[in-house]
Amino acid sequence: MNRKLQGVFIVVLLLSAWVYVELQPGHSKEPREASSASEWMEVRDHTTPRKLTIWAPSANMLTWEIDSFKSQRPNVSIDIISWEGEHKLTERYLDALAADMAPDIMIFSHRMLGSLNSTDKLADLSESTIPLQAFRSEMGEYLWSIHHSLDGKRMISIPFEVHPQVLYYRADLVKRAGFPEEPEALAELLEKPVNWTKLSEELKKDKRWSLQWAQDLISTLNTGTFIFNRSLDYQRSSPFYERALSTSLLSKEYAANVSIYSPVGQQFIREGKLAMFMMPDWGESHLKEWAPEQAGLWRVTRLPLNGYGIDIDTSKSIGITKQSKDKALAADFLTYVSANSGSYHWFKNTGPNPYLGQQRAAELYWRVVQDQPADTLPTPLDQKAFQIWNATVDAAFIRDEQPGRALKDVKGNIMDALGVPQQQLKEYMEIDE
Amino acid sequence: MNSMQLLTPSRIAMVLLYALAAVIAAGFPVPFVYGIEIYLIHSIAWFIYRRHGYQAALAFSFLAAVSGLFLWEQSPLIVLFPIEVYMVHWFAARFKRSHLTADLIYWLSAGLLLWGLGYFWVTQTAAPYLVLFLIIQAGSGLFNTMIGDLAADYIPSFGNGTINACRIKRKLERLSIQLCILLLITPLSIYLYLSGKHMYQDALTNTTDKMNAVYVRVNEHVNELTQKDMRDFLVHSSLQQAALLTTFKSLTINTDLKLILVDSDDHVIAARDPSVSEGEVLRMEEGSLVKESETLSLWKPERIPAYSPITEWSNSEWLGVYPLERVPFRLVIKQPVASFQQSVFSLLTDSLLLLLPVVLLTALGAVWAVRRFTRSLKELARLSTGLPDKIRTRSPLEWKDSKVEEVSALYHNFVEMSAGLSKMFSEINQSEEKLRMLAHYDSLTGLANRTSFSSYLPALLQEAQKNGEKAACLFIDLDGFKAINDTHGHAAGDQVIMEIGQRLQPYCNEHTKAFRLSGDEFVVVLREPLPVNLKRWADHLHEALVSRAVEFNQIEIPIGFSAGLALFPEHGRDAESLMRSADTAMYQVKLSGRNNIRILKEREVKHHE
Repeated sequence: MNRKLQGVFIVVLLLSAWVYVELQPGHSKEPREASSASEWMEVRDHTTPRKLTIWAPSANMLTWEIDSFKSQRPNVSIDIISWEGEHKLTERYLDALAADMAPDIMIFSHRMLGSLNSTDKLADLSESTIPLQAFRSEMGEYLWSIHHSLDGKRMISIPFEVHPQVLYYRADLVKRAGFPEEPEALAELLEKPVNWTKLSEELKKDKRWSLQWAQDLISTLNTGTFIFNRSLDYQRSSPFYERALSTSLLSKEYAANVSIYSPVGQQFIREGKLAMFMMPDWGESHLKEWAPEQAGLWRVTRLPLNGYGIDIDTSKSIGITKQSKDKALAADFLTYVSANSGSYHWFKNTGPNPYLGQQRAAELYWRVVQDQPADTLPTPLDQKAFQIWNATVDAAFIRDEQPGRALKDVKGNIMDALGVPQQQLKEYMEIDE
Repeated sequence: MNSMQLLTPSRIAMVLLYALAAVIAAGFPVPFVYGIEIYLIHSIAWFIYRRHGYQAALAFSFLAAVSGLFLWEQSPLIVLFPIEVYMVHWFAARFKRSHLTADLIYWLSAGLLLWGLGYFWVTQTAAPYLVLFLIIQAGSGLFNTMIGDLAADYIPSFGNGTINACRIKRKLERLSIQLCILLLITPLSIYLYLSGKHMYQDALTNTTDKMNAVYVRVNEHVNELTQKDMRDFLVHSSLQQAALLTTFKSLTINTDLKLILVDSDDHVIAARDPSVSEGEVLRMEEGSLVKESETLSLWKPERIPAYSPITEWSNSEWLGVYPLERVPFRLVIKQPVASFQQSVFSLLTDSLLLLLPVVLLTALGAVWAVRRFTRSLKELARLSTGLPDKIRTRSPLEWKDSKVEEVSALYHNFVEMSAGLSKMFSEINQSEEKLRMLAHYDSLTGLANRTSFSSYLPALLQEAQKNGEKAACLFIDLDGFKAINDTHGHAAGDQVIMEIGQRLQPYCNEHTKAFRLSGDEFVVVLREPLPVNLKRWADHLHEALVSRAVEFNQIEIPIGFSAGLALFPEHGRDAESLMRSADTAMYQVKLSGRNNIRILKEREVKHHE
């Protein structure tokens, strides 16, 4: 074999090695197995028996929706279990999720979101067939935001009932006190604390009360928003909260100190002694019930001091558990409910409300929801944080503390108790300070 | 020899054996530590190079490269082996160097360049271990070459079904250098290998201890959870996961341990590992898992040609899986091998960079010392070659004295021995000369005797016949020699004989030679060119011998002789017939009056014959 031929052999060998190596697959990772989309695929089968179980926090929920849904799908059975009266509903739900004994669908209050959005036991609805994007504009950014997991990556539920905090007032009495009876005009005026105090003062002169309890304003704001923002920072050391707390502390003398759920309170309404009160949107139905004769006298407007809130205790969300054996059916049900249930379409009922003097109240509610700033969200720290907030604010009222000092105390107490887990969570979620 | 004759069963068996060796050597490199592997392809290739030649070695390395690449999926750098054989052979042939020297030059130049570029190519990254990689490759390349060389020197060869013991004489210098390098390289290699193994075992122990400690802490953390915390833990609450991750973080601070907590379905609950996401199913990438101990396993990524073994080890991880006591979760602890690899490689690099110059200097020193020593021995060997002749001819024995005491002593002994031998040879020469004189020369006249004559004349005639030359033989017999003895005594006779011998001495030259055959008989043999007039030459000789009387005890004794001259080839074609002719001629002179010389006529010769 001559040298030229040997050289050719070597070159061929080198080229073969190069080609062989280059043709080999690299060591890049194969893409991770995608979440099983087939779990969500609707099975157009109306013969095989299928079943859903729903847990609800109160009785008589979804009755019409379930019947209607089942009527179109005769092979489907739906059991709804009510946890009416259960004080530790969050614990019940979490225990069931931990024990893999949870139902297909869970309905829970916004207050429970903080305990649920930090687990991975609720299915990611963004993978489902539910047309979420169609609802997004209707929800507003706040609702869209709080129904995501804590890290914002998964949609764990959708709003089912939403109850914005508003101010109901007797238009005639307000007008008599020298303030505009028109809702938006009044709301704009009451954005300034001094006007709120002045209005309360004028009403008091006429022996009328503007609050049930002195803490109503701060309590309404408290239950209308959450405490931490997306960065898990404490969100209530703001001038707004200082103004709100200050206004509340100054409102002691304007409070009727009676609950409208009590007969005395309802009597106050009928007698016009309680000229205003803050309550979620279902307040109008209570008014109709308690004082039907006052139809046309009441109006509703935004909260004073330009406050916003969606009641976290009565507003509900609905989600599908990861344990659900029939996620496709559950998603189908949620889609059906969201398309047909009145709980989703309250905002569409924008007609004049006779009881509220032909005011388009639903439009207001919708706007309040839409305008709710998405600057807070539920976190697993909420439960403890709300306890500390309530206790510290109560103490501040008892001690007549300066609002600034009281707010510092609240933040201090919350951080003392939750600073470590907050920091751990931040690190866990890789949130920069 | 035709091709069928080449394909003997033993040859076919040998080729198959080498082919098998190529495939095995390519598939099973000797693992050193953390991806450093040493192929024995060089050793066998250079063995074959020595035993069967360049083309066989090239074919062997080709087969090894191809099988390593396509059959065993070894590093593609294996293709550099045939290139080494090719280039080293070219260099050795071009510059008339040994293949060991050529291999050394290859590794200091093209070898380093090719392997360096190849390393960049297969690792696709900056090469943190390039220096070590090249040192190991060059070292193993040269070591393999030497091993192959040694094997070729010492392994008996198989031929015709029998083992041929290696009877090749080995040069002391080569033996000494091989021994020196072996004594230096072998302990170094063993040291590096054992220290690498030891460090690997240490790393395993340390890793196991670390992992056990981490497991105990994590287990404690979980055991200390309240019932509610535990519930939250089971629902994968971020709060608990964050707390756990904080624990993970505190446990892995200043380490490169990776902690992953998985549930019974291998879903990741919490992970301190950037490559793993929570919620996903923990899957090991393709690769191999080797159990190192009860709790520890070694995971290595799937071997692909693009990986160098070093990179493969860099991406490997030790893996410990620990079940938690309180929940059916498992803690997976990973320890990347890379950090240990890096520390071991750093140590190896430092050791090699420190030791190699020392080894190199020691080797060079040893080679220098051995050469210096063997130079004296070579000198001795040169001088002692043909020593008797040198001593006999008294050739000068020049040898530079050595600084090595033993060699110097040997030198002086040798000189003394040479002097002794020279004296002894001189005495022997004298004795031999005496014996030779006694055997071939007449002690009375100093002329060559009959013994010499009986060998000289036939040889001369043979040469003359071969060359077509002539020769002549003058047979002399003294006249009245018996009377001289009787009259004047034997002493006088001896004196006459001695005088005749002296007078014949001038005729002992390159053309004529005188012999005393016996008593009073003498012969003068002539060779070409013969005198133009033989008769006249004979008369001159007669005149020279008898013109003066021999004086003995103040008595002058007149002498005369009768002589016959015979010519070759006219009067005899061999020594015997020629002498017979001369004798006949001399006898005729005796009959015809003595004291004369006669040349035999040709017809007389025929008559005699």
